[in-house]
Amino acid sequence: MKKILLFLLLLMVYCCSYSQVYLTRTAYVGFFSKTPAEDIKAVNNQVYAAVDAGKKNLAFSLLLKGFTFTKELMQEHFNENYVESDKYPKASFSGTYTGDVDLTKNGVYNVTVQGNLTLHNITKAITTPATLEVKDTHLIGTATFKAKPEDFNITIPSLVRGKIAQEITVNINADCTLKQ
Amino acid sequence: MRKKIFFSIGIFMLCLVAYAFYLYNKPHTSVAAMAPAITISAADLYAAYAQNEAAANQRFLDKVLLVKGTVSDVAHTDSTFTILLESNDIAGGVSCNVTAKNTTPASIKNGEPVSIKGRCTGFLADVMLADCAVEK
Repeated sequence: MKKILLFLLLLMVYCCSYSQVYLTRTAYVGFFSKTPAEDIKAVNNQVYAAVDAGKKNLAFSLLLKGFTFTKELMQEHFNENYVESDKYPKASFSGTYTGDVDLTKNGVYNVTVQGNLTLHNITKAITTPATLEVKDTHLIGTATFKAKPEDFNITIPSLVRGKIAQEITVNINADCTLKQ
Repeated sequence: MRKKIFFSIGIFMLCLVAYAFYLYNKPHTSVAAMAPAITISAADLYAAYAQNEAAANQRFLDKVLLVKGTVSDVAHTDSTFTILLESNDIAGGVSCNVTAKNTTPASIKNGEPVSIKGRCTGFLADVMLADCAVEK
């Protein structure tokens, strides 16, 4: 009897470790460029994020047209000239993280995320420190990393190059809920 | 005579610079102030995208839509909130990121009918509308 119970318990643990998928459709991705000439900020609140805490995988997906800028002309240039969102509408990231996250204990855990970012039809490896916060049935991921437009084959005319930072700061905040 | 021409060219250039400056600093136009180009139900909009994304993009992408549907979920993000409208398909719906300040998330209830105006940004499991305002 005890053995059966133990077996059942093990089976449950096994099953659980494979169904620890946290999802959100409303993650936040923002980017920021700061130069003496101009500050540029854009936000997107409709990012898909999935974290599989069992396999330590994570993935993001977003529409580039979903970024809102404060100035209309910037949004137009971003979509038409830089990321060419009619041709390449999506950006995505998929990767893994290392670091211990105790899902049964609320708290903030530091992890390292490693994966591939695809933007403008170019895929590039990215490694960044990140935090995962366990809050009951929520798993909240945050990260900040830098990316160079030129790495993604985005050419910025020399006339405006001075107004856009060499490295763009990207902020991510994904409040994912456990999928039942 | 030469002075006059010089002067008028000067004025013209000044106007051009002023206009360029105005265009450059023009704030992002909020959808709330625009008239919708197309009125459609959330179910029809989702079906159009699920069937043929490219054709649906031709019809809806970058346009201001007025979408009527039933609220299936409300999610909070930092300073905005997102309303998900049901479609006839369990796989997805219409995701509307509300930036207009005329509504609070508390006034939106699951299962209630609602009309939302927003700019269509494409398809990603759900049809996405950005910069939305809830119509009363």
